[in-house]
Amino acid sequence: MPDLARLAAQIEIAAGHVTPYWPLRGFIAANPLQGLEEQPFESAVRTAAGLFGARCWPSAGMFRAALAEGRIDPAILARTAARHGLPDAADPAALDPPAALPARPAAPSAVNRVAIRWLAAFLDEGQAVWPMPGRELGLWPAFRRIAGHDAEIPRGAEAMALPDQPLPTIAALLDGVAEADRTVLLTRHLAALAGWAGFIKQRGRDRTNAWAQAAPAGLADLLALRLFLARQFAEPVAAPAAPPAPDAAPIWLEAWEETWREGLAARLAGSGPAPRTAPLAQLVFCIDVRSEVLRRHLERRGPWETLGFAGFFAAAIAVRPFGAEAAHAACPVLLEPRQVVPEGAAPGAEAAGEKRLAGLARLGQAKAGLRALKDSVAGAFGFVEAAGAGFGAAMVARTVAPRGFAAVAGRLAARVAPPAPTAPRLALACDDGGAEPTGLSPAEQLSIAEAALRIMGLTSGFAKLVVLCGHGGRAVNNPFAAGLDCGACAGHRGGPNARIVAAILNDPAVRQGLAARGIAIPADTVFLGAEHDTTTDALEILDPPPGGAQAAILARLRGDLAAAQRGAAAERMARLPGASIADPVAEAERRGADWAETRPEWALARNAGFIVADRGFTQGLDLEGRCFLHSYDWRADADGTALEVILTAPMVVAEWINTQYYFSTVDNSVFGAGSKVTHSVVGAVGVMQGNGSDLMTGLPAQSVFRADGEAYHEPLRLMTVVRAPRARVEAIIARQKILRTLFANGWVALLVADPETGAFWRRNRDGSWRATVAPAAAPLSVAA
Amino acid sequence: MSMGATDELVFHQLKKIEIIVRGERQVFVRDLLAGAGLSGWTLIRDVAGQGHHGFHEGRLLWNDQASVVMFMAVGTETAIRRVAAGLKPVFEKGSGVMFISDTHVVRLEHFVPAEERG
Repeated sequence: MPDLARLAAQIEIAAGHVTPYWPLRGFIAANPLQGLEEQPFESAVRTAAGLFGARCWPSAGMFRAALAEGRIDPAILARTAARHGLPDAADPAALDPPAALPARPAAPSAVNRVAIRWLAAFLDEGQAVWPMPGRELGLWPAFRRIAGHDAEIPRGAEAMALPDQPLPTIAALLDGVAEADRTVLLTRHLAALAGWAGFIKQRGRDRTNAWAQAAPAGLADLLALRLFLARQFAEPVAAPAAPPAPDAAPIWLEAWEETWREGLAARLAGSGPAPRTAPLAQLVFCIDVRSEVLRRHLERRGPWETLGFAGFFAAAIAVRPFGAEAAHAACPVLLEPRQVVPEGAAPGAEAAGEKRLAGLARLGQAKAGLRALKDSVAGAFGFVEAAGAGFGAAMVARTVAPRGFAAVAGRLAARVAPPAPTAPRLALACDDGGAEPTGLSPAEQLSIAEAALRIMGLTSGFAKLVVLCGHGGRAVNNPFAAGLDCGACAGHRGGPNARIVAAILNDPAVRQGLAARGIAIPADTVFLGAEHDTTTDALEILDPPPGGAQAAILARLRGDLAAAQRGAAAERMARLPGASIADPVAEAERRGADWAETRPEWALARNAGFIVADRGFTQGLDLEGRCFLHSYDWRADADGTALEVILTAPMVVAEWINTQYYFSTVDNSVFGAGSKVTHSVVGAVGVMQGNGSDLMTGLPAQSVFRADGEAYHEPLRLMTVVRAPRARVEAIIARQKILRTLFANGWVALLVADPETGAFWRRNRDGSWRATVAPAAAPLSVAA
Repeated sequence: MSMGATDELVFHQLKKIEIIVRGERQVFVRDLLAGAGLSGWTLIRDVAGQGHHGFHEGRLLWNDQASVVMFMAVGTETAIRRVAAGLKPVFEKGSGVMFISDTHVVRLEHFVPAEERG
């Protein structure tokens, strides 16, 4: 028994290299090298290259293109090369790989091929018409019982001679392997199908996943399966060939990063605080880089102040949308949702709510019926005979006129299930038949309200109207659609959170509690929930519009929002290949409705900075949608509590996103998802390339490349900029290991703009600081 | 009230293990405890302290994974040995500590399954 416990520990250590993969319904960015963050970046990528056979630095072509386009400053490159003692590395010839790139296997090995088939069957979440039998037993026991029927496995029936539980099976199959070699062997087996392993790791931790309860699987099951297959096919698990990396690559990457970072520092130093006038309304957007574009365009047009805040608005909750059977987590995956908040029909609209529910049920039945006809062997032919013409016409319509088709389909759906006003049910309740109560206690509501306001630094100077803006993307026929939604809401649309927190902040009891804690919200301030559609840059107000003074403000705001949408859409369309920019809003809507569109928007591509500061620090600068912006008032946070939260949570999430974009760009077929054109959706959880591959866990090629071999995303590691006294930042880093790990190992760079001295400091990896002198004649990009 | 009631109070000697570990290892520790036959344990979230890697602050408002937690479990020496055998290799590779001590319980049946009590 101690042997099995030791084996469990060896598996746990091997699992450290596996990055969890969240299924596509809530696509979550994660650093594919998460398990290696304890190492300096350079040694982590060396380990990863050997483990996954992956390229971990930008290619020579990417570097050369960046130099040619001026994104790498030759002077900075020469200086960086000299500092590293390799002056010759600045020569582009130094980028030629020291050896030819090893060829990648064209098809999965026999073990992988068979393992993928079984994993796809076992881990299916409702896509398969005939589910695999015995899944409730667990992956290894279920496989073991029927392996003998798999003609591709040479002697599958031998599985029955092995124990029923995975750990003893692994112990039996590892018999003869030296204790010291076990972890390496297990690591290689997990790395061989890192995507599938990552999904098993994630669903094992997710206690809310009903599929994981119904079909339990752990990494021990996966290892038992693979070790059995490896023996059956006499196929030893070998380390893939690591692509060679030239010594110049780290130098070129650093020069590329420094070119952008020094430019940003100079622009930040050169921009004076904007004159402050009392705003008519405050709009709080998610920190997502896409918010910056709309915020900038809106601020130019009127007396509107904007703030940035993690888009779950401090509500660590799960949300059950109106008409949905189950709740989904609506907070960063770093957090477990504490409570469930259901949406119900708005007060006074109960009848309309009933009508909508009935309509939604009819739509659901119709869809299920159609699917049953299509999937049934006998029904499919009759179905095509009967309905083929109609479907053909619809297919032509959605291809030729995607916007028109979407409008007609939307109207039809609205006729069957007419929209009804809904409202979050905030109060604690036990009346919906669930085991747990739903809603939030008064103390929980107050705690969310206070955290949200203090961390975003909005504790005084409230405008009459404060709009909390969640966000979501728009795409059809796109398995990665959730990737366009809000990462801070666990890959869901952020509107529900915005409405919930707005309702909390409007509650008189909550306001009374806040006042007792020193935050006095004027009685005539109204909070509203809204949602920013990042594909079209439309901003929809979700709550019923208020009357009184707010009605007039809202009317003016809507006008400026429409103008800001046109400006923001024009800016973004100009960056998308093939976009017609005559009518940018119409083009953006077309992209969101076109089922043949592989690139509805650029999402977070080109992200490179995370700025924690008041908006005055960045206002007027065109940050080109490349920076996460988190509001922070250094004057109101003397003990650094708010800053500590911002750096240990939103910044960590930004680092996950940034590294996912980096690695998806430098090796799309290992860390990304390959081309969307050859994707197969599997198990309703992920995509494979072709009819069998590892689960592709990163971003599709179309999300980071403009064209074949032409990267749009610039693979730069994140730089965090904090506007706060340096001593405060230092004290937080000293308290938080996660920050020391990220900064000291080169995963994230740090610039501190000390408002007390006006000095700009860069933190070196060893914890020392160097002053960065912003050139006086820095090129300013000041918004007109 | 007679003092005789205390005569019925028997202290049964068992082992206690305290495990201080990164929050992300919770599932592993839980499985390990279950595998060793320990069906009950106490979990203290957000613990703070000084370790080889410097001070660790307990309270992290929005990050459950980077927090440090403490498990406390009581069982027979055999069961606690199983747990320790599983933790030792993990702690050799990463952060975490365990403390094992003698302890006493009154209600033995809560800590040791009937078949092991003999």
